Amino acid sequence: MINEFYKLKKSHIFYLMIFISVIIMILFSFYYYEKQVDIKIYWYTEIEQYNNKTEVIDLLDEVKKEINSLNPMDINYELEYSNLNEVKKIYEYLSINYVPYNDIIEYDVIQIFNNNNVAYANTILSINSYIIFVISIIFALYLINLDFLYGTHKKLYTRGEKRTTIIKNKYLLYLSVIVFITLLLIAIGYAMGFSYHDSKPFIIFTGDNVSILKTQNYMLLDIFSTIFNNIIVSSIIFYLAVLIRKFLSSIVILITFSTIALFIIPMLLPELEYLFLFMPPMNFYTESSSLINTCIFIIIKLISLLCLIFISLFTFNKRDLI
Amino acid sequence: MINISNVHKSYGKVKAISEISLTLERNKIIGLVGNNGSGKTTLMKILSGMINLDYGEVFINGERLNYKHNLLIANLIEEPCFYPGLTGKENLCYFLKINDRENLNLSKYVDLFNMNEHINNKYRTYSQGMKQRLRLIYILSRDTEYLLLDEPLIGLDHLAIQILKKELVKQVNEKNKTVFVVSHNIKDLESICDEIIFIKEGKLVNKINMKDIKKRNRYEISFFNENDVEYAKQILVEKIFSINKNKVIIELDDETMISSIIKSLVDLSIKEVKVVQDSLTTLYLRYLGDNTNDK
Repeated sequence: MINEFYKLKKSHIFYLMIFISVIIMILFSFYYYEKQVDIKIYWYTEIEQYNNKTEVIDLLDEVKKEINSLNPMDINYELEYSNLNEVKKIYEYLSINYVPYNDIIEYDVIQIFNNNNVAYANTILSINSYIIFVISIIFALYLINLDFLYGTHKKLYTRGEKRTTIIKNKYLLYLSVIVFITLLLIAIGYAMGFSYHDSKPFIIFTGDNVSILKTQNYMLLDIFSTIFNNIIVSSIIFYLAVLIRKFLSSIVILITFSTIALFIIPMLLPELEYLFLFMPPMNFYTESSSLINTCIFIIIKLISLLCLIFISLFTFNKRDLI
Repeated sequence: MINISNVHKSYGKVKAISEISLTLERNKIIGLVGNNGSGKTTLMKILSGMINLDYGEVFINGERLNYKHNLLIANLIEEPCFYPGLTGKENLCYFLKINDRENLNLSKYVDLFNMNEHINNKYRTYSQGMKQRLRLIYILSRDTEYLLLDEPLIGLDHLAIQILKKELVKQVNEKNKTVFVVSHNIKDLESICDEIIFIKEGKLVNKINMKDIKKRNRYEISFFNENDVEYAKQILVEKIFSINKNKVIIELDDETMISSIIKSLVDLSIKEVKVVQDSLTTLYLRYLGDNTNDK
């Protein structure tokens, strides 16, 4: 891995990739800042303002009354009941575990544009998937396929190490760079988010149960989710490159894979949108995805990756270096 | 020592080499000679671990060939291959480093092949000859027990060829290396090789010792008139090694005898003959040209 890094250090591609991704991230942040200012009038919350615990209890009573006054024959009864019940649960939670009004934000609201730095950073991070896809392809081509174009693979893979060990070392370097760039993009996303917007330190998640999560914990989940997705996706790209080997074939196949993953699947099968894209953490609490779907996505990704690693390494070992 | 036993390799339906078995002894320069497509490079690639065998076995120093043997074998096979964006020196350092080799001998070989002026230039700016010299510097710097060289003279000028030949002999004599070299340049092989292996259509034809060729005083007499062969047999009878149509190969105890044999042929009114002393070139034509039937 150190030897691979020695070569990478001498190459412009490493610095160019970092520079371009940082620039794209910053431009994207500015673009969404402007966009967000325009639409923030649509920001709303279902929780009404309160100043102390007694007022929370009053609000809870009011919601209970409202629920009782709902007419079951009404066409919107179920929807209204569900919304009010959710708000009731939040007030019940707050009446026991009091949190000042200015310190909370509902998770549903994070998913839309609003005047909150976490939501802003989260939105910016959605571009992360696209940037990492492009970087992964360029970097996999550079680490694996370029050697087959130059003919240097004959020297690289005929040395006193197993071919799988050489690939493993390249993969470790590849992952380190991908994780480094991911962390850099996350840092930029959050830096831009925190420099433009007020912070609310707590987030309330609504769903079947009400729970409260500190902003910094949410951020950790956000970072973990981004890194996890990027590792899986970039690993799939890397092992596809190992399987294909030839430079031009690799470009064609990897671009086709990216087009399917980033554009065709989200367009034709919206329920599979997060199969290869960044999925905001705790997304299963929202209407767009369920906990089961989230787990299925993760399992599909992991199984596909493991199968691909096995096939790629087996094929790579068996094939002649010509 | 390298033992090759009943090795087969095909590329799809094309049989590259079959039933090759031979032993390559240590501390020798062994030449591999064959026509285009005869399987020379395939055999080199098998020894260097670049391609897998269909079946057969290869043993290096008594151990079945595996990835660890790549530390003992340096190969120069097919086209030059270095990173165009790195300088010659950076390329050498990188590839030596991944082979766990220090750059101790690097400057010595850079000097030897007169690459001092160019070693810090980008590889992409190199001429064909410079690329070849860089490959040779790399191979020699690796300081391995075995050197596999496929057409090492391509692109080299006369001076570089002489330097390389001298260095290969030195590597064998002083450092106990074994060199396995493929070349179409018969004269150069003849001047440095201890043994020559002839390979034709993927099969081993013959393996000869160069000292024997020089020692045994064989001559090939080509008769322009095929009927003259019968007359000639009368005086050549005990010296004949083989006969093939109009060509008679004789083996003499003493090279001075050839002039008296020519005189005897003239006395028999056989005037149109061509007499050539056995050399690698004649052996090449004999083994790899027309079909022959050696006794």
